[in-house]
Amino acid sequence: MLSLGLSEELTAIQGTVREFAAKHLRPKLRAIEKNGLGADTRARFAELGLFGVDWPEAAGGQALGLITRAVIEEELAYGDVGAALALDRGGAAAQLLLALGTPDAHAALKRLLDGEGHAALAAAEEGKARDDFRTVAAKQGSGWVLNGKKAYVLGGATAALRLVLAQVDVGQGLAGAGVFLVEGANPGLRAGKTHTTLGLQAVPVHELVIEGLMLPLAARLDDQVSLPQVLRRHYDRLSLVTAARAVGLAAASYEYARAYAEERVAFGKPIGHFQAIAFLLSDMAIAVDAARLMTWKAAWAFDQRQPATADLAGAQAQALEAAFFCANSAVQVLGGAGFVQDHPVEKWMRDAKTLALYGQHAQASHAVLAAAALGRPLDSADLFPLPSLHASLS
Amino acid sequence: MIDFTLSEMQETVRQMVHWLAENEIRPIALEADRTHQIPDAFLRKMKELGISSGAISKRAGGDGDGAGESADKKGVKQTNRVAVIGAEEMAWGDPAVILTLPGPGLGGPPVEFMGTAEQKAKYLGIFKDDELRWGAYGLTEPVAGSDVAGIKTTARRDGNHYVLNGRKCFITNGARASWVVVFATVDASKGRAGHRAFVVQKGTPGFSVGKIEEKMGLRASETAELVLEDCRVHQDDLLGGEKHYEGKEGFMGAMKTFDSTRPMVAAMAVGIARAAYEKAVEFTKEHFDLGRPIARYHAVEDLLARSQRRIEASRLLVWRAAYMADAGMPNAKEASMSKAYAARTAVDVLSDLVQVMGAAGVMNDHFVEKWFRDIKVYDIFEGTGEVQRIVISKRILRDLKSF
Repeated sequence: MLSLGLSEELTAIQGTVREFAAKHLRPKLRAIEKNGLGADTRARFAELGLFGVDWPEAAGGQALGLITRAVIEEELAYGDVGAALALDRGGAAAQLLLALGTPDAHAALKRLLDGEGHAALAAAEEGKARDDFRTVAAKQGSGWVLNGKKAYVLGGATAALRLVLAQVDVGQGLAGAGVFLVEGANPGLRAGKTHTTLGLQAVPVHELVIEGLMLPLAARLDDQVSLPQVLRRHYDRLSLVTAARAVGLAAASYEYARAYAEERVAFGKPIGHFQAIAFLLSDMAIAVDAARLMTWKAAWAFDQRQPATADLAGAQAQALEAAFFCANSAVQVLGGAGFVQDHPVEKWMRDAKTLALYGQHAQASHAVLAAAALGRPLDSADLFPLPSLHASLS
Repeated sequence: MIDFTLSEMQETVRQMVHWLAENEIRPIALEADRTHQIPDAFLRKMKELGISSGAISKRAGGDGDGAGESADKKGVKQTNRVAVIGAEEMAWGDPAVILTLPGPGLGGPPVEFMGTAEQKAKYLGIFKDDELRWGAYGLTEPVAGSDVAGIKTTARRDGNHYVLNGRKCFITNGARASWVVVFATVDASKGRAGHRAFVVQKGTPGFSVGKIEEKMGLRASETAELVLEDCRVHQDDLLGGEKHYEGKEGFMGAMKTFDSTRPMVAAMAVGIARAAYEKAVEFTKEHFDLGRPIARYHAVEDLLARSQRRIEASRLLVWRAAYMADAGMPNAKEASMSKAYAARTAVDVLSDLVQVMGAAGVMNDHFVEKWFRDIKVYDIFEGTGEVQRIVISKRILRDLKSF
């Protein structure tokens, strides 16, 4: 029917999250960037009962769809995108479990939901790109043994649940790789170096060293499914979450710069009353709205069970572009004040660049969009940021 | 609630207009561009099918006279959404040909918004017979375009008449129009409060056509200069009557027209950009370089993908502006956002797609060459991109009255 207003229920959720973000995230964003999320903030967010809102009931979720998730993520990221990422205990790993959709994957999600820890996805590896993962899983007796090294793992060192991508059939690329579940501590897995990152510093990023990691047979979660297809669904879902966060970041940057331009006076009038600034702000406002509409459309299409891969990739690319454009422009509008850390916009600019390398990064999204237009299979290995293209954060 | 499904009626209109665009409009477009003329037979056929400028959607939607509202099942009108969906498909056919479709054109909305019942019957009624007729909209002047408030054409009261003097330029279908809505001032010192809109009929003494413009694009569309020299217009042809202009209404009438026409123009830009994108995709699949289709090169993929998503984003901004208009929400800002983004996007996209097609892209027998020339004006007419940003700026920044 082409109706573009939020339902009453969703408007209420939006209001609740907006209030939470204004009270608990925005005022503490520098502390959160430096020290991570406080237990108090985590607890208050948990009280809202919004974790798992988009998961199916079989995974213990509320089955409210990606559109609900999109609205929530945008509002959290409007408070602060780094905090939004840190509040997501499921992260990219939960998206992969949802994409797997097996009873075992759902059971793992349930345990995550009932616990207090966070999940991490160990996918990327450093070094020259190739078709196979260097991390290898071999069958040994009644289980698996894994050896290798993973890079750029968000929250990797302290995660309660980790998913490790490893090569099972050497020379087979993604089709010969497997997903392995590691819950709790394991002597075969330890944290390597901590990467120092450009942005999104609220979540530490680690290297994981895997040496003789022994796992039961059932730890491999993708036995009955095609990994390229699972990864397609994984990146689809993750794209939407990234898009929604990018919209929130863009909106926050726009609104911060807009308010500043009303207050800051130069040459006898507010700087917003000069066309160069006002037009820039107008373009930022357009970028935010366009990205939000793309995100809603993609979430809606996914929830309707329509083929949504292209919509999701398009939304993500559009929103990431909007996020960097708005954050960069906000720094410009604030001038010197934008560059110093008294204002959040320099942080958001760093965050925006970092967000564009999370999951299916912007170039990969374009490749997916083009593949859809050209009628190529969307689970082709060359459309994934892993392992053949340059690695992304997970 | 969020729902991107087209209603049955919206989908019907989309399919019907697309069929027309593909089978009737596209085939004559290149020739019309070369000859600067549109075959009469085509125009008659459109007329017979009930396809009219300014009332595309309503006619196509089937409520006959174009004056009624088309409502969805819940009773919310969907006129604006249907209109932008139709406009995108029409422009997909060709952006120049459609500007010459018989009908009231841009003159329609001001008559509908501001006109009295008698005036609506008199001026919109003429389109009901079988003749080919046009209406036109005369606002722009040699020294006043987007600055509507700066118009110089004067209207002096003389008994039951007004005497009009001035020049209007860049008027679409200005020479062939049966009537033109002309904006003039009765008292330049009053600014906007002095503005009046008149309907001036073809053949009125003192009203003549000046030069017909040669243009970069939209060559199949007639762009005329209009001259008013002691042109006497009866007071009954003052749109809305004298009462309508007490307060700010006169100027607001001109502005309200834009709130509904800007998303339409933006929708057309979406249609053209989409058409060019489809041509480029086809081209890049069929043309090989070093043994593979050029579409399989990352640089080309990247351009195609960026074009595709920006076109989609433009469409959603247009739909949002139209949705708000149908829901009765003020949408001046959102209308300008859709126009600013869709037009800029279409210009960028056309430039990129010509590049993707290489030499073929600048050849006259490929549509993209023509559309590349046609599209530029979409970032200019109905308010330039800069004017859209002025409209937006005033609505996002506190206390901003002017620059």
